[in-house]
Amino acid sequence: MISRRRLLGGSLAAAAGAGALSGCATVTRSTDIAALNKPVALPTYKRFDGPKPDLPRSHPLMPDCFYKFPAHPVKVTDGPPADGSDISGSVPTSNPIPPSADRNPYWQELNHRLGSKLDLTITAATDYVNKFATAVAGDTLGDLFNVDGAFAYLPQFLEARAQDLTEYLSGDAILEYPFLANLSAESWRGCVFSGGIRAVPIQRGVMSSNLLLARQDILDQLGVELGSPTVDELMKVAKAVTDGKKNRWAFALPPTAALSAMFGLPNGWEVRDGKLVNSRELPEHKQMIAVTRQMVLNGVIHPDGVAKNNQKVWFSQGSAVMTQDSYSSIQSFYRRAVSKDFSIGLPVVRDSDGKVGRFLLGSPNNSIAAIKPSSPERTKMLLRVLNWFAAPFGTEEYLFRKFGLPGRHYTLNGTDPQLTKDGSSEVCLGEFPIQYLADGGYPVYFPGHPEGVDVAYNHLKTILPTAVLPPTYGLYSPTQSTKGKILDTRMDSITKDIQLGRADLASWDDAVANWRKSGGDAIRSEYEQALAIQGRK
Amino acid sequence: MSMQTNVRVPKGIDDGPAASARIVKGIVLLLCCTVVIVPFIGVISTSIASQQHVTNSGGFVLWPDGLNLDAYKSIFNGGVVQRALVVSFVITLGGTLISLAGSTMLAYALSRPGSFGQRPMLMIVLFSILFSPGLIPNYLVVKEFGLLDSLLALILPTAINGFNVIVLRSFFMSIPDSVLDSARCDGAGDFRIFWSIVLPLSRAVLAVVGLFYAVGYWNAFFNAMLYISDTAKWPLQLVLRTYVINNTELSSGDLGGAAADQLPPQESIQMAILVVSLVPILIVYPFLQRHFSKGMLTGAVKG
Repeated sequence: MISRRRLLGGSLAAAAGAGALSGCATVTRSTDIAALNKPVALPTYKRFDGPKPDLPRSHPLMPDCFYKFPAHPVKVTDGPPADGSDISGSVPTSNPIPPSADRNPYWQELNHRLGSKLDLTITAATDYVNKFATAVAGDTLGDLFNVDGAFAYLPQFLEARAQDLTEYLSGDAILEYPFLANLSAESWRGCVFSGGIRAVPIQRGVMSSNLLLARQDILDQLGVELGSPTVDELMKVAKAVTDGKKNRWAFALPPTAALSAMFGLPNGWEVRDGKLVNSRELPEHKQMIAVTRQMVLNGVIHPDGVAKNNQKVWFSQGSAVMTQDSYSSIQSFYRRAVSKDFSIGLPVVRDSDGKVGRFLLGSPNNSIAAIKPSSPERTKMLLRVLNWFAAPFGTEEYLFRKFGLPGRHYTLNGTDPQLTKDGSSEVCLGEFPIQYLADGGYPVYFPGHPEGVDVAYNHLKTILPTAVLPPTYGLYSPTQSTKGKILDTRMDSITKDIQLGRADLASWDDAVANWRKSGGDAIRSEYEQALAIQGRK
Repeated sequence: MSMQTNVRVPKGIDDGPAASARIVKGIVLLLCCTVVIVPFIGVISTSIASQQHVTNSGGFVLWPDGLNLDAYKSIFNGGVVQRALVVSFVITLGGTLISLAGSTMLAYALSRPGSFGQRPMLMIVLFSILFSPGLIPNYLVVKEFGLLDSLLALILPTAINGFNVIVLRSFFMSIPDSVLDSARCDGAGDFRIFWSIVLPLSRAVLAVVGLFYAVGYWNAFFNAMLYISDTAKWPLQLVLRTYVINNTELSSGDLGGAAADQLPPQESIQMAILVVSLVPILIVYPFLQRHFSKGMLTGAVKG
């Protein structure tokens, strides 16, 4: 039964959020930028000797590209990784929540292969923030949990509630977990907090980067050549393909990823003359907003494109000829396609000099996942489980994890597994949410659509030499953590106001000045300190 | 010889507004109705439109080209929506009964001066209207009572609503003491008076408060999102939120294996779920409407 003391204690701790954690003597103080950003020896990267990709890796960031699933996937683990004890966890999902274990043969087989009962609390991704906060307060996150990256005072939270994995994973120690060692050093950099490795990455690599996607079938049908456009050429194409009477607009939303590349904007922050500069402070950013405003005025963006979030549907249906999404979204568009001619084009955009526009990379990780503080034996067992979850593409473990059991969950089309209707539901459209606890590297592989692989590969090959990560990736700024979300929301809001004509373009300068005063400058200063501490400035 | 006199009758208060004012009023009301009704028509039309029509209309059909019930067949094929509908009915019926039982008994006790602890209890009820405990304390209480993943977690935390208790209390206070005293003279105890005298006299307010509770339970999704992990126990509104608001993709397996791999358009299924979630309230409302003005006014204006 609940006791008054326990209720009050829990409520106060929760109400204060992790702020209570920051006040605790055992966690780093939020003002101690040096301690929060203390570097650590990252895990040694050792590429797993798996199936050879169908296309050559032209760049270190190039993901493995496969036209087909290997015909004979090899089993790469011996026996179950777990020790028979129950394992609990919390994960989000962007797909339909799968049936619970007692009604889900896939989950039952997963438990069998793991050698332990896996009890997952699965929450829709959009609700995970709320659920995470309550689960933290109620201590119901479980043994393994996906971390809400926007949680305030994240390093302190992880210090208090997550196992420090440094001794198990730093340097060559990780080689005991070969599939975790197969994840890139960049990914691991996002798991370091307060001088310790406190999580494992859910690696997506470049696949999470946003870019301009075009409905090539519609462009061909209209006889419009998109090519490799500059801003002016993109505007011309946009006008040519827009026809409101036919419910067809050029863009599902303002194409800021493409425009950022065209204007050569920094990826959030950029080091210039030893100082950090934010994209928002640059005249090119204002120019980009002016272009999107003009696009709205020209009526080439879907009427709800600025305000609503239904871009996938509009693009799939052909109401929008172009949209902005990630490489990893391509498979979901093939799945949603209603036209049998559906084909995707990925235009390489150019800057005003005609050079390939600087491509802004997304975070190398979809998210991170942590382990509840446990005994060394249990921690090692849980790491073995995560290692099993990270078995790479082409292995028998991967095939089961993503597609389930042959016959019930998938059938083979050539060597490509295709989900059945039971598979769609029970394996969660091939994305059972254990993928938010650990996952192998994300390949360019679109089952049944080898042409999509060529399109993505050619685009990646062209843009990767220009690609940039934010210099602040893997750094922690207390002000960004506590105020960043509010400040970003404000700036997004003023951007939308300008795009929709509810505010003048001139109001952007005031907004930027206000952003700097309200926290932007503090964030800059903290990131600069962190960069200096890590010797990256 | 007849005399004609033009007697000008002064305009009285009962004659209503002038014709021009009525026209303006009519137009304004018509516009208001259109604003409300058009989205409804769009929702229903999209739910019964064909794939082609939905695609051509950009996902929202204002008037369907024919009657296509595939979306409804899909969601009533034994999948997640059908299960959620049953859960919602159970929560709404069970919850409303529990809420009405608790609220009426509490309100009756609070309406009788001299009841044990009447003043402090009334203060607690009023306090609960003004201050809410918040998300996390609620979660901790539910967790510590072992109600996580239980349908009771969707009923008990919201079973007693302070506002409804005050409305009921005000209504009960309007029942003349003489009626209750005469029952007492006839040998009736408190529970007998409550059951045989007070409740039958309070049908109007019970209907109103019952509807408030029922609508509340029917529409609630947030508690389910926090407390229920098992999708088999999800109420309809959480399904609606997941698949309509969050735009999560539905698979044929989720819909109980409807029509193998080819599903009706996602928008049609979303709108069909929306229609299904609206219908029960639309059906119940007219039957209770006649009690509304009486129940609300009697309870609301007497202190």
